[in-house]
Amino acid sequence: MRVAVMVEGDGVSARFARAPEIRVYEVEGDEVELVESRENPAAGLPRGAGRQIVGVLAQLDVDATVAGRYGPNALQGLKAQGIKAYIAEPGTDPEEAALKAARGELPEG
Amino acid sequence: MRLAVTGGKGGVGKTTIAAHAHRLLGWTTVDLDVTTPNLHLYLDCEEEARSRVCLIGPEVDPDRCTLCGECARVCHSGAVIVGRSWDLDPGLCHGCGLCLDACPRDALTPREIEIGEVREYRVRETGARLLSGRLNVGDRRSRHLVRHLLDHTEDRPRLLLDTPAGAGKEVYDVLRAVDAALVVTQPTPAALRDLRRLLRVIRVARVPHVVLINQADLSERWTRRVEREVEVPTWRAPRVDDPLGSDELRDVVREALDGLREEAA
Repeated sequence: MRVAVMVEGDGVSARFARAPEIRVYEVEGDEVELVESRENPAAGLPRGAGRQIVGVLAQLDVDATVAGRYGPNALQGLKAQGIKAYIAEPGTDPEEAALKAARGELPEG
Repeated sequence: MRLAVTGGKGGVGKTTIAAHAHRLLGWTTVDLDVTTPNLHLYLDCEEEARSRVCLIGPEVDPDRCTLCGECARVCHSGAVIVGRSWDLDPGLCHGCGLCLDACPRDALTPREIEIGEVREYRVRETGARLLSGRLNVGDRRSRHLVRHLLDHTEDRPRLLLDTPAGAGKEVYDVLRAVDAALVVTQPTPAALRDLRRLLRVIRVARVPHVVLINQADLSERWTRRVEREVEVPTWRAPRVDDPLGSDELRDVVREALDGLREEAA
């Protein structure tokens, strides 16, 4: 399962669409592998970031995402793309968050 | 001549003055306060027609769409997102049509996205028309509705336009489309502050204007401050018991309109 964790600093970002960094993990069983880390191109958008980031995640072909909270535009867009939106405590270790998301142990937004 | 009634601050009497101006001039009038239109309540009128206002957005044919994402790439507002599915948020679409042009497989066809409506009234006293724009609740595209109303009335030689409060983009669009503006204010600190802002917008739009200080007898001091600060002719209107029925108020509006026409000439 591919999970995109929205990261700020070294932990899960409180914000979804405007988190500075996106880390993509491939999770298989207990194995968590960081496959990609990139700047979030939607982070600095004056408006509409919630929609644009969904397009970015769709291109990254992820199955789920993790952030502290989601805006309504983002949630609607994620649902349409079939990407699960999981919520984790801001600051959580991204790798741990990815594993928990893949196991379905996190609450959904 | 196309003439706007505007003023910056809300509640200073713009619409009351617009109602008097309508009755004095007998011109087709447009209520551009599309989130809270109420000029029709100030004039004795009957509704004659109602029409929907729509933008043209995309509709997808899932059999033709290959999810290539070209439409999403050109969608500036982020209304179209393409990944595992083609997804449109109609509330974000601005009707630019770029997606329809961008599709390499003709999978997108035009569809209407409603943002509001226009109600057309006949004013009994003047026999003239009142067009009232009404944005759907929660819709963010007020500027599109204002522009629709302006485009729709472009060919009328004489037009009176009641603007919303504020000095924002809709007010700017209206000011760009008129020959002169009657600026209504009040002698209060808040109204003067908003007036300053509005006058800056008016200068950018380069519109001849005069200022009507409504309820000038509220404060001699602030009335004088307004008079000192603006560089155009001003008129003082008194507080009256029945603003819509007041001959005194109507006479001031008539004088201000005459003065405005001189300014614009």
